[in-house]
Order: sequence, then structure tokens, then C-alpha cells
Amino acid sequence: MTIGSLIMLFIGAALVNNLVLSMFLGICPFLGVSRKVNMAFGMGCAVTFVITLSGVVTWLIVHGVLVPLGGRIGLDLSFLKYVIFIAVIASMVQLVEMYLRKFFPLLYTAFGVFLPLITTNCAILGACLLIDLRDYNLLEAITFSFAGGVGFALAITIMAGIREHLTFSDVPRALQGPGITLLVAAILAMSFMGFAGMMR
Amino acid sequence: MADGNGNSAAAQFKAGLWSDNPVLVQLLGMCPTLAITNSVENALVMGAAATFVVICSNLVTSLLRSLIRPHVRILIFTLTIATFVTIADRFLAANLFEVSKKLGAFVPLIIVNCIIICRAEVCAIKSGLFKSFCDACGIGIGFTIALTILGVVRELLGSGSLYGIPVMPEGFDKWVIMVLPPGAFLTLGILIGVVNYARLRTSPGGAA
Amino acid sequence: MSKFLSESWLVLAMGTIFALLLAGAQAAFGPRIAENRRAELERAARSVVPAEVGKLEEATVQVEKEEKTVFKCLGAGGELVGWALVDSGFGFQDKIKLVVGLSPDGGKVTGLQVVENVETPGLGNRIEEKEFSDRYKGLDATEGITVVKQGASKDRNEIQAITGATISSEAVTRIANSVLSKVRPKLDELR
Repeated sequence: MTIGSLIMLFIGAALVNNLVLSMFLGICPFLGVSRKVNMAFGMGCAVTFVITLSGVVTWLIVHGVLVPLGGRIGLDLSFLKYVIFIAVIASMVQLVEMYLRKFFPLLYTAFGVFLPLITTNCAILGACLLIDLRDYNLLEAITFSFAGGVGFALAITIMAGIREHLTFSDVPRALQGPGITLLVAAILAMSFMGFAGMMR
Repeated sequence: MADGNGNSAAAQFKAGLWSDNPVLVQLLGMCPTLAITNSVENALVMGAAATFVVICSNLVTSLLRSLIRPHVRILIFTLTIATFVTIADRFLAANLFEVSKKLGAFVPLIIVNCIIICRAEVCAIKSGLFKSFCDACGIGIGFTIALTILGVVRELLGSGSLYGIPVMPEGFDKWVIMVLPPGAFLTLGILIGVVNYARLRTSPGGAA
Repeated sequence: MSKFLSESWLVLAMGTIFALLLAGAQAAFGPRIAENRRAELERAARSVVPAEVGKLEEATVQVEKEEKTVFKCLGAGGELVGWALVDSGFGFQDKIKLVVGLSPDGGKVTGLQVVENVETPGLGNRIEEKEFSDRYKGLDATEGITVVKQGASKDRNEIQAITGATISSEAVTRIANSVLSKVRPKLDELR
């Protein structure tokens, strides 16, 4: 595991296997919060922060508590993973909320209801599950979760930029909102597929 | 069978199927919808798993509704859902091993599927057992229907088969893009457009 | 403290009940799941060895910091008829798990079977098909296998990539090469 492989991991998670456009995680906020660039960017940053923290903490719990404890009492405790993961994520979001409320009150009000909704952002739980499934070590887990967050922020910000332009276009009524967003996402996804060649 | 908020259990059931369809109208639960609809089999199994979880979650929430304090309700909903999802996931891995491998991480992701938490928050916490059960069934079946429509379109055009059985004629050039991410976004976008169009036309005055 | 309890007793109680419920589910389903995984590996191991395999003996070898699983394939009379090496690595989308079959002397690849993959349906996931597996039969296990897009020749230890799934094909070959070079030398310990 070299710096090179970590960089590949980063590019892989952020671009090639972008959490939103390739792995279909975090679609709900992607559709919901991508109307304005500054909100989208803010959401992207918040998600990156939560995802990195959660990725690391869940890794620590699995490898530092569940596995040794399971070994000690002779049981496979992996069935508790999902419950523990979601509890960790919910706590991390709570922490972020408290932090924002204290130090960035304007941002806190701007986010409104979307902040607690980060808990149900499948990108975060998805990243934790993937780290566990792929058996990454700690350094890889940190890189992967951070890269995943960056990729999410990238996708959501690009989408917001496009949607801001779309407000001046003549979108058919039935497609307004989620319809056209999904069609734009299809094109974005196709362009991100081009990154696959980078992995060689 | 009417309850506090005026809807009968039957009406709640029907709403979940069409007018309040979780995917096509409420726009919830998009992640699994896009990810696993590349084949009909995946779509059906995911729909069944989600239906199981939402029914169990609604029943438990409804049973304990008088005991759940407002501050802790989200935590309780999440714990309940996480538990039933784990059970569903284990069940699938034991009995439908191949499919569970294809569904991968998306079965545990049912935990954060907004659809289920939404039902607990909007219906089960205020309604009796039977109504919660009907609501869960309606939503679950509505979700499965949406998933299956997508699955049929994507598998038919992308792999030329339905449920693994080749259907399209020999010379058909598969539109592989349909089973890839762009195809998922495309199909869902068009489907939502179609549904919105139908809803605009049938509602009075053309108001959405 | 009592306020904390009055607010959260339900959470604690439910948490405990759920933990028990989950433990029960684990007890009920766990064995079947392990069995499924094992059966899948064994099926693959039998398919990559050309001879009739009677018994499979599972063993592990230590490679760098990891343990790799190796199946000793024994014939009807208990003699060694082949090896099956298990490994996994990264493909285009996610993890690929495969089994490589070796002749008893460890010199020739007798087969390869991809057991787990989440590659692109219709393209990448064709690495699980027999047609792709057959491309590895008879290759030299002591030299690296290379992937070419056209005109593969077994004499040059080449396999043909699946059209439209070059990355997945290369990933499978990379994993195969890795397990061959790392595990093959250790097979003597298990004879």
C-alpha cells in the first residue's frame, strides 16, 4: 500500500466510481439540494466532513471493538454492525449540527431541515459499508471516505451550476424539477464514465 | 375503519400505490431505485425486502406509539428499521444467496431509505395497527411496482431478457447503457416525467 | 439521572430486545450463510480442476501479511489431482473473487472461475461465464499471463479480453497472476 495506491484509491472513489453518479448513493440530497451552487457546496462540505468522521469511527469500532470482543467471547458480532453504523452516523450529524449552531449560526439557519437529513444520506452509510465490505485498512478507510465526500461535493455542485442555468430554459412542465434533473444526471454520469480509462 | 387523520385504512393502502407512490410521486428512496433496477429479479427481491421492513417497522411503531417520546422517536425508528433490515439481509444471504450478492450493500441501505422512516413518522406513530399495516403494504407494493417497471425497461433494453429469460429477438443490439448508471437516471427521469404528465392532465385545471 | 431514564428507558429496552432478536437471527441464518459461501467455493474449486475430484482439503498459506485459502483436490484414491487457489482483488466496479486451478505439479493453469463480482452487467460480469474461464485453461502458471484485445495465443501465455470489458478482464488476470506468483511457491509446504 503505497502513496501511489492511495492516490489511485482517491481518484477512484472521487471520480471513477463517484458515489452519486456511479454508485447511486446520496441521490435524495443530490436531487433536493442542488438548486443553488452555494447551498450545494455547503452541503457537499458538510457531507464530506461527516462521511470522513463516520468512516473512521465505524472502522475503529469494527476493528477495535467488535472483532476483538467477538474473538474474546467466541462469537461473530458482525450482525450488530448495521445498528452500530447508523448510531455512529446519527451522532456525528448531531455533533456537526451543534458545532454549526455555535460557530456558524448563519450557515446553520441556511441549511434548515437538510442538516439532520444528512443522517439518511445513503452516501454516508454506503461509504461505511463499503469500507467494511472491502476490508480496507485505516489509511485506506480515511482516503476512501474523504474521496467519497469530495466526489459527492463535486457532483452536487456541478449539478447546482447546471440547474441554475436551467432556470432560464424552457423545460416542459412534466419534466420540471426531478425529471430534468435526472436527465441531466444521466449525461453527467456518462461523462464521468469517461474517467474509467484513468484507472489503467 | 377511519382514524384520527380522516383517511381510512383502505384509502391509505391505495394512496401508497399511486397518488402517494414513494418513488414516482414523493421522490423518496431513489438510491436503491436507480442502483438495483438493472434486472427484474433484483427489483422484485429488493421490493420484497423493503416491504417486509416497512411492514415490521410500522407494526412495531404503531404498537408502541403511546410509549414513544418525541425526543427519541427518530432514534427508535432508526433502531427498529436497522434491526429488521439486518434480519432481512441475513435471511436473503441464507436463502437467496446469489441475489443477495447482486444486491450487495443496498439491502443494508434500506435502513436509510427515507420511505420507511417517513411512514413511521407520518402514519404509524399516529395510527392503529391495522391502518399502519395497510399503509405499509400500500407503500411497499407501490415501491415494488415502481422498481419493477424500471427493472423491466432496463433489463429488456439493456440485456434483452426479462427475469433472466431471453426475450428479445436474436438480432437485437443490446442498449448496454440502460444497465449502466446513465441508463438508470434516464429511465427514472422519463418515467417521472410521464407520471407527472398523467397527473397534470387528470387533476382539475391542470394544477400540479 | 432519573430524567435521563424516563426519556430513554424505551430506547434502552428496545435496544436490548433488538440485540437479542438479532442474535437469534444470526443463530438461525448464520450457519446457512457460511454453508452457502463454502459450497460456492467448493463448486468453483471442483470446476477448475479437470480430473474427477473426490475430496477437497482446505488449507491456508501465509502470504506477506495475509492468509490465502488453498484447496487440495484429491482424487478417488486420495491422490493429489490438482490445486485450487482462492483470491480476490479489485476489478472495475468492486471486489472480484476467483478460484484458479493448478495441475498437481503446479506448472499449468487448469482453469479459472470467478466466484464473486459486481462488474457491469452484460459486459464486465461476463467474466463469470464459462467461455471466459476456458481462455485460461492450459496456460503456463510459472510465467505471467498477459491480456490482449485481439489475436490471443496460448503459446505466448495470452488471453483475449472480453470486448467492452477490458478492465474487468485485466483485473481478473492481474489477480490470477498475483495469486499464482505468491502462492504457487508455497504449495510444497502442503504436499
